Amino acid sequence: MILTRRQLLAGAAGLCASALDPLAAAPDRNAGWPRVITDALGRRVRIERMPRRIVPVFSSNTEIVAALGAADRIAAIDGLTHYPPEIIDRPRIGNRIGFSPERIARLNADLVILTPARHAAAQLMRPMRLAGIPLLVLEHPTLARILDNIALIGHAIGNASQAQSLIAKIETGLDTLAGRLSSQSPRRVYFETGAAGRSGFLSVRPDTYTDDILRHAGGVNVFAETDALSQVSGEAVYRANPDHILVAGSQADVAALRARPHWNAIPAVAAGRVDAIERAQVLIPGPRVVEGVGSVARALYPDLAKAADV
Amino acid sequence: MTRHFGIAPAGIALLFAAAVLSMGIAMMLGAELLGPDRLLPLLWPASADHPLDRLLIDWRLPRVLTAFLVGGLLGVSGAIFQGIFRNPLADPFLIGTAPGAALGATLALLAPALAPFQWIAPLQLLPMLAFLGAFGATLAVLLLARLARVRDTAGLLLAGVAMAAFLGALRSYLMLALADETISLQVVLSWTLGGIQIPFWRELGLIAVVALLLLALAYRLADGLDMLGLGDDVARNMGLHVERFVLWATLLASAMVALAVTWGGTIGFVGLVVPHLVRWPLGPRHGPLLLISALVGGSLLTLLDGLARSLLPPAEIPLGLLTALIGAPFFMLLLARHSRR
Repeated sequence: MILTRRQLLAGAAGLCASALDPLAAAPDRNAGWPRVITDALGRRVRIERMPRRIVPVFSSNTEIVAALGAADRIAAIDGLTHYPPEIIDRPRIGNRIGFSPERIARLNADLVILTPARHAAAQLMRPMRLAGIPLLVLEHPTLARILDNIALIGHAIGNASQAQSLIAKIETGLDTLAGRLSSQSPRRVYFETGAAGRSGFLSVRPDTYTDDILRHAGGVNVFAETDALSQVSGEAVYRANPDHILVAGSQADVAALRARPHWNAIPAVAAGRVDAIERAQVLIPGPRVVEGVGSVARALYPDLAKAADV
Repeated sequence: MTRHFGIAPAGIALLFAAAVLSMGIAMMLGAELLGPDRLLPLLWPASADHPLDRLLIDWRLPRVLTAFLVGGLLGVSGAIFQGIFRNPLADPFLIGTAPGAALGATLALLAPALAPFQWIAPLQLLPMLAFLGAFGATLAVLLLARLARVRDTAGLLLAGVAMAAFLGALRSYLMLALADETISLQVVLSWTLGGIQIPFWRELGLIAVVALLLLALAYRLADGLDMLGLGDDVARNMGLHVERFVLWATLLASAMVALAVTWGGTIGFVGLVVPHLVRWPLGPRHGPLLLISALVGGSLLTLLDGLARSLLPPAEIPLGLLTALIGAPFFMLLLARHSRR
């Protein structure tokens, strides 16, 4: 399956790139430019020369660019990105209340990468076209697409080889873990990403990258069939009787979950099998998802974690 | 007393029976549908060790009872507000309670670690801030109206609308400012769409006592609301101190809404519709209207919450969404029949 995706990606990249250099052998010089990249919206984006003043919008895109060794070429970030440390002092182009096209233009940005998650982001598309700044729109719905997007960003910013090695590293990590977990029985998990107080508990949706993280870590989502609405009741959790409960959040969130009325009647809660997973590791679709897989696996298989460095 | 209710004791008994029946039906509804054969043995408290018994007693019963109380409070407060404002469009959330509660809830959900909240247990923070937001917003509206020397109820209504817009904008700003890629706004959305918050038994006891107290106090407003329905001048001639009465009735109804919104989120439509449903067959007298609005509102919300839990198992539909989705077409149907008469 992994091979197929790689082949597809290489094929797609070959079609997109106007230059004929194969993806893996890209020399990361100005030789392969301009490049034409097809983004998630099917737009063909032309990048004239290797981007040196990149503005990635949202933590996911920023973390991918930084993980490709291009942190020094990040010209600006959005107001709510906090990682990695070396880029947090960069100029900010706005936050959820709105992004400033003027500021991006004034920073002489030569590539904007964003995810159409919010209206504020969509507002940037037209001004960037008018300003002649190439803008890539990427979507990261699943773990596979995150890896594809790492390759795509790598190609777009001229760091294709770094992208290949990052992807290989992530896939090796996942494969190694899969090998260790192959002797274990899968754990049935209720994975909570939020709660509206004492009702409206939000479960991880199937076919999302967070669900992928759970699956790669040896877990099975007990609410795999709730694809229309991800909101469940305490009664449904009690009835599903998960082996383990994970909370995207802190220890305080775990304590709050355990203190909910009657939740100690749920065997996993009574047995203390409730763990917090740092939100940034499982809710930002960037390179850190692999850390998320590790954290989830350590929580689900504490014995395995003790025996080996998962 | 019978005369005052305006309907026969048999009718009242029938409505009480319907209320109990609605709770019984709601007990069977959920992610797993359970038949009466599972329910009836629970009346003998001898054995409640089976997991399904625990499910019914721990998870469903408190939720069903809370839904009934929330629905009852919304029905009665809707009737009071429609009486005070003499406006059929008045609903319980009209004078700032809903956006006030939502602002408090947003703070509790998105910034629980904020300095002043740290000494409050996380589970208590949301109900506390929701109640303070709801009741505080009403107090602010009343205070502003007084400072602005607003004398009539229409002015009060407008002050409420302005306050609602202001608090709504404040909440939207908070949602945008506090969110980042890992903080999900979905929890705020989920809360504002309404959903019964499960109380501990001791909390439920307190809610029930306070709710019954408020309902009893509300029942004493009936005569005043009837007089007010004849117009301010007539009411004054009949000996009603209109300003004082409106202030007291607003405070009382707002306390009811604040309690309802604390344990149910912003559930729309019930408070607007229930008084109309009751008024059409029974007429505008507030004695029967208030009592029966409580029973009908409670029964209706209990059943709707049962549906919310069981239509798309194991997911649950936000309750406020369902009240409007089912309530609005149903209401239009009744409206059409009523108007044709």
